[in-house]
Amino acid sequence: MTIIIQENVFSISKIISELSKKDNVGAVVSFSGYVREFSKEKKLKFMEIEHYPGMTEKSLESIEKKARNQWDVNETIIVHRVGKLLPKDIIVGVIVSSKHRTNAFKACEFIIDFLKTDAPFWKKEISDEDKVWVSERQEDIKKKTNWNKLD
Amino acid sequence: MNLKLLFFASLREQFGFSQKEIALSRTVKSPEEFLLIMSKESGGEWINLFNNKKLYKVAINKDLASWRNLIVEGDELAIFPPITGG
Repeated sequence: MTIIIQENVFSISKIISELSKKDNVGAVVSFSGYVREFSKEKKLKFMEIEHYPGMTEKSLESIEKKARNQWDVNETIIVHRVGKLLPKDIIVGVIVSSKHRTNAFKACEFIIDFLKTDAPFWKKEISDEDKVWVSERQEDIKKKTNWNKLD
Repeated sequence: MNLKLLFFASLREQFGFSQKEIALSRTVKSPEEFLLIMSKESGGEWINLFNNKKLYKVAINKDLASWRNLIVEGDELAIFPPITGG
């Protein structure tokens, strides 16, 4: 398990390439999230992401452990950026390798779904008109609830 | 009773600080009771926070918790709006 919280941009393709070279890897599944240039029809100038150092790592470790308990995966890498991000910038990457694809698919989706609701990050969108803290999405809560039903 | 309090995002901006050591005149057993005491003793924004606490999340020692979970001397209490990362 690797958890990285950083300000700098990162290359998801480089991480995928490195993971694919490791022993006994049959599948690598990745999710990458990006800053949209429009939010509710307002043109975004930039985004600021704040987090709770210490709790962020603790919660992501716990999410990763839960995924690993359910699916046989080789490696997991979670990278999340904080600070100032521009439209189209990468925000988050979740990369999972396994011997067979299903385990990597499921674990990757589980990790990003729980990251969305349980890992303490907050986004603020800055446009020409205003500065707004992003609200939680009901869709994200629903996705987490659906996983809990499967337990 | 001494607690370390942290605010994030919109709450950090409203209260004007991100962390503070709080020395309470009495012992409280839960984050809910902590807010009640703060709203009685300090008023202002604390009253709004107490009344609207269901809109916010609480963590005790860096674990998500409920407003009625137990807190003890020296605990780190963080209060923040719903998480919006990813």
